[in-house]
Amino acid sequence: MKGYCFLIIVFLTSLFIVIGCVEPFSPPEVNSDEGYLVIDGFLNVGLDTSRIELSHTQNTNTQTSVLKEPGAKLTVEGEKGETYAFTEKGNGSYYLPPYSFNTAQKYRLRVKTRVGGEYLSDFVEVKNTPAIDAIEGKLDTRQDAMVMQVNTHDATNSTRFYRWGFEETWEYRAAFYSSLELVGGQIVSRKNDINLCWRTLKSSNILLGSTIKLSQDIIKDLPLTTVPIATNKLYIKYSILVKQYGLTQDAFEYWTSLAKTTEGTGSLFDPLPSQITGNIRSTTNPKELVFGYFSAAVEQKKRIFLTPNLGRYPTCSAPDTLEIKDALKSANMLMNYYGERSEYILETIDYCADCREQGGVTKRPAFWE
Amino acid sequence: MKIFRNFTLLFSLIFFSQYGWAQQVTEPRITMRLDSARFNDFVKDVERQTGYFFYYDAARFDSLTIDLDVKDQTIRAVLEQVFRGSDFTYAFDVGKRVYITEGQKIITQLQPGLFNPNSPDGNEPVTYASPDNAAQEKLLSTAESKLHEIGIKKYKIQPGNSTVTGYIRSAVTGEPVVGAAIFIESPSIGVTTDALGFYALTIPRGKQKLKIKSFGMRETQRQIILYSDGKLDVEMRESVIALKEVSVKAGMDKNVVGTQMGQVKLTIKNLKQVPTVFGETDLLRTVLTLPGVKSVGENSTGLNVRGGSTDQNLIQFNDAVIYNPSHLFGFFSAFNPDVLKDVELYKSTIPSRFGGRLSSVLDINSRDGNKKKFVASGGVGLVTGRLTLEGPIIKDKTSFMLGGRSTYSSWLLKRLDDAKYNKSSASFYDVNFNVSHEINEKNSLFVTAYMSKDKFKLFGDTTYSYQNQLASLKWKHTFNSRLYGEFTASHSKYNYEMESQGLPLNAFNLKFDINQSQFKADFNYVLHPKHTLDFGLSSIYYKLHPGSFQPNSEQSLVIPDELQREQALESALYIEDKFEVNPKLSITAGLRYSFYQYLGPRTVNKYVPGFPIDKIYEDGTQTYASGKKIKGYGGPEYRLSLRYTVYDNLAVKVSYNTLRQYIHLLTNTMTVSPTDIWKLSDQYIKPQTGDQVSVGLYKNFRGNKIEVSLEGYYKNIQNFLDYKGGDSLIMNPRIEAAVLGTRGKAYGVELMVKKMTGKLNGWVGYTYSRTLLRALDRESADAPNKGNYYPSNYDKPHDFTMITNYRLSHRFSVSFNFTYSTGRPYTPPVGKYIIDGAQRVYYADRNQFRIPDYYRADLAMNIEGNHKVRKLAHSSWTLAVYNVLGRKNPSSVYFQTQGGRVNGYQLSIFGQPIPTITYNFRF
Repeated sequence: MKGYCFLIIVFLTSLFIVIGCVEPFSPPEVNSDEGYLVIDGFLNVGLDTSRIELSHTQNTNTQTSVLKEPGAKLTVEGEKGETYAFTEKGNGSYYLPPYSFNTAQKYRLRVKTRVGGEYLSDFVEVKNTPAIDAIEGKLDTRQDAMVMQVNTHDATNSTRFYRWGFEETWEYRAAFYSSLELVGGQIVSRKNDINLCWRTLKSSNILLGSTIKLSQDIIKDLPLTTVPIATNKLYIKYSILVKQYGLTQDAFEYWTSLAKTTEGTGSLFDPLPSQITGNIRSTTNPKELVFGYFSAAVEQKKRIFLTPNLGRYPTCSAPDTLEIKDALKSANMLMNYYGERSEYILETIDYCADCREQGGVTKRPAFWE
Repeated sequence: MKIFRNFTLLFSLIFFSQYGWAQQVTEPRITMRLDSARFNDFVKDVERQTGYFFYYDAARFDSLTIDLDVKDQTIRAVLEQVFRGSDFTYAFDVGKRVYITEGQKIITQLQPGLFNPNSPDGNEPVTYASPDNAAQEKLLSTAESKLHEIGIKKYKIQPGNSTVTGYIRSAVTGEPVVGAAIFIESPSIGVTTDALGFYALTIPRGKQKLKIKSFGMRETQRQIILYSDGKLDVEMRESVIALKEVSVKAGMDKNVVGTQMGQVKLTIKNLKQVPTVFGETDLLRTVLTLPGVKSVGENSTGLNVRGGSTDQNLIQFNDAVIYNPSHLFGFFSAFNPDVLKDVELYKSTIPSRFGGRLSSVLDINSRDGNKKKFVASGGVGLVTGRLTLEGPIIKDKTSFMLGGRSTYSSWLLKRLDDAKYNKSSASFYDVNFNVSHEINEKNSLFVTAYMSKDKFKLFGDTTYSYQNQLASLKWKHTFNSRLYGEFTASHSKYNYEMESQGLPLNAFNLKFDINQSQFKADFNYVLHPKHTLDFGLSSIYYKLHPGSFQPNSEQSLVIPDELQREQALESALYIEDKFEVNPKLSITAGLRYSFYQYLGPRTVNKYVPGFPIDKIYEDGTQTYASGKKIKGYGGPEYRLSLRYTVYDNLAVKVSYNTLRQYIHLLTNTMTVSPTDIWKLSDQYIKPQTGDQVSVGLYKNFRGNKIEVSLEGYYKNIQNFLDYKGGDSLIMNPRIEAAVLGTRGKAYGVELMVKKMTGKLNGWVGYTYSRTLLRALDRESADAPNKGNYYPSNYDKPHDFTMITNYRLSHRFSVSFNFTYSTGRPYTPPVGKYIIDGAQRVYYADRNQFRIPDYYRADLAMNIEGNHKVRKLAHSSWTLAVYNVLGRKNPSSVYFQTQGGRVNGYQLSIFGQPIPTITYNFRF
């Protein structure tokens, strides 16, 4: 990646106009290949299946996919000694069907790996989560974007700490419609529509909120994500699924630290990074690092659909006009016949006619309204 | 050979006659013919023909050749002809003597009627022609040649010593001359003036010649007859060559002669030579170029002196403490260069009169206002403007100075096209006001008031502001010729405020403030010519509001929260003896005893005994009534230093000192930030203590023109505060659970070569130093790096600085700076993993790696207006280029998770050459 310079205003943002430069920095230090265990997931004490994934840490510059940890034994233990064993469904993912857990009890997680390592979490209390009251899309003309906001409240004032995750899905079209395709050297009518797609993205930031300093446990209009109009996500139909989790104070602090250390904005006043590991320790080798935070919570979900028709129909550069014999050799996307006697075929690049090129799928999601 | 017999004596008569004697007597006639003759041949011929005798400086006439053809002319006519068109003049006296001089005629006759005022003056009056400028200077200082009688006059002078006391002042401004040397040469006895220009010199009675030397002043002398103890005030003239500043003479051998170690004094002139990023003279940035002084980054003026943290420096402005000495979070220092006189940094031997901080003392003094006339001065730079007015209130007795400085950056921001920026605003200002008043020769009063304020807003959401306010009143009293005292009362306040209006439901207002009221009395007593005692006491009352968090709008649901205020009393007594054992050995030994009381009202948290201080072990509270002592600390502090002169111009110095600090700055960010809060020691947070041993070698070369010093030190710090990861320090009622007691050690070697005189001046410094920290509780889960030593954030082993200034002419000078230092440590991410669908990173052990090395070169040019002493306005231009090489020195390195990837970035703020221009004026 090439470096870029910009006009920064000294001290983060304002003041004097000084040329500040941000450039990539990739020091040769430390190719740590320790491959510490990472435990990702939580005990869902609600009505859904719990899922926990085991994987390993990697060097920061590694480009290969994450190494999973299959073949481990996972159990959740209650304070009174009852155990619930997870079953592996391949590739380091472990599942536990819903039970009616005693929410007054505390639970902990025990993991035994194939190579004989044993890991144990602290006992965690079960945290209830209030339902999401509303999700709203609010237009912000200053940013030229739609801000997705969440509202919730706990009348018992007992949740106080929240974490959210979301999945956004939107329907979109490619700029041109392709009704023809080349199959075995023949030009035939296209069977599947590749003009209309749906794309889903998961949140990658840690979204946290707390009402501990408020007199009532109310979250109002807390922004979760900003969807710029220029992305065209809002042109046809947009949907967002928000998942809400109540947290214990300790879990909230873990996520806050994790967010601070890994999503630092590089401002001049960033706190010192520190090693955030979580509430799981190795019982076999106390020096070994383990990453992840085990918690027991209820998951609340809510989905909304929006059709604000913001943005514009996608455009692409004009298609080429080919004679049929040339079209037969084309490596690009054929659109349709053209000319008085249909002696030509219009052709364009894949990106302009195949919506899948933009990351979506043509299969309509089951939840789509 | 010079034939300048008795010239001085005659000159000093300063009377002058045009034709006085010549008209009365018939003059001998001369006839001669000369062809390319030399002047002394001419003289010989005339002397032979007339019997007159000539006095002249032969060297002056070396190149003069004479063609002459005269017949039967008077000597006067011949001389007229010879000197026509040249600067030479002549004069006769009654003894047939001719005096040839250049420019000024010699007066050979006393004022007529001088001895007989009744006789009518029938002759032409003797006119007095004003001597030219240079001569006038000399004449005005007739004080130099006059014999001053001091003490009660006696016919027979008793053998023994007496003391002369008095003030040395500037003849132009009436300001005291500080650090001027007053001495006699035989026997060699001397002292220097104190901060008020006062001196007391004990010397043998009888006739003596006092010599007085000082920075930027003309050397002068006084002839005295000392009968008994008495007073002599001396006015010194500024050295006109430098207009307002410096030719270093006095204090030149301080490096070798004083017992002080690790002490550097910078005058406003030194400060002005160092180019800065925004073109304005910057005190703290210049101090940062000295060996042993570092900062975390380019954007910070937080000083780390010899491995100490930024809160371990006692920064005093006219004896009142300043808590936040910077504007705009460190891009500017909060001192207006126009009102500054000098700054002194003490980093190893800290005099007993200072205490309360571990690493250093930065003693900043402002000038006194001009006591003779009104002067306005100021400057206009790229981002700031400043103006200072000064002048007498009562001439020669009372003067004032009022200085102000402000920025127009907000105005600039509003002009920007980008909506992001013009919603932001930034402003700061500082104001100084001083009055100095001399009640009588034994009493003087000084009043200082200072205020600085910063305010800025980012994208229209959050407004930050902070301000320093201080006032001090100092009374200086001379009890007798051997004892004098200074009594100072001061009050300092620092506060900050943060206001957020982003989300109406969460709109808040966060405030913090610290107040300190101080009284101190310092005495200086000359016990014996070999012993000088300094003693005194001080007391500080602290009152702190650690935080208040309030709703800032009607819809806001923010629960008002206010942390309990804190108060404490810190007092100290000290005594120090400076003992001149012999000319080779000098010892200064001091003891300071400080005691501290943390006072109620307060409700304190209690913890289960035997367990770590942590939230989970909290066990109830205890309430203390107002004024009740919650916890007390105290202890002795030793200050010892020794100087041994091995031989002329080579000295060895050793010093040891211990210090205690009862107040801490809580900061878990990389640089000094506005939301850092101060915390008083309490029952859990112990006072920081430190001790330092230093050894130094000092040598001056080429007649004290070049000073070389080499110092090494080793330092221990106990109960230093470091922080557990991720804990917020703002509005935290359980601060004791968020901090980690740490011990630190620091060691290093500093080499400095300094040349402060001549066309080329400046300094070169090299420092090797390390600063390492370790958690006190090494087993704690929070102990960084598993309880082992780790480098501090400001551990930069190698540091090289070169500051040079070359004066091409009196009006034009060029400065060049070069700085190099090892990159500071940082903690890089060493691995990544996926949690909750996104990539996270984990970090290496604390501070085990370093960012790229730092180096930078700056260039500046100073152009002064013409040097006529009397003109309406004096002006100067400064053109500077900061970071000429355009190196992108990373001031911050950070890592971000973006789109599931961990990307590292380095941010360089002044990553390209930055030219600036500043206009300064004075009238």
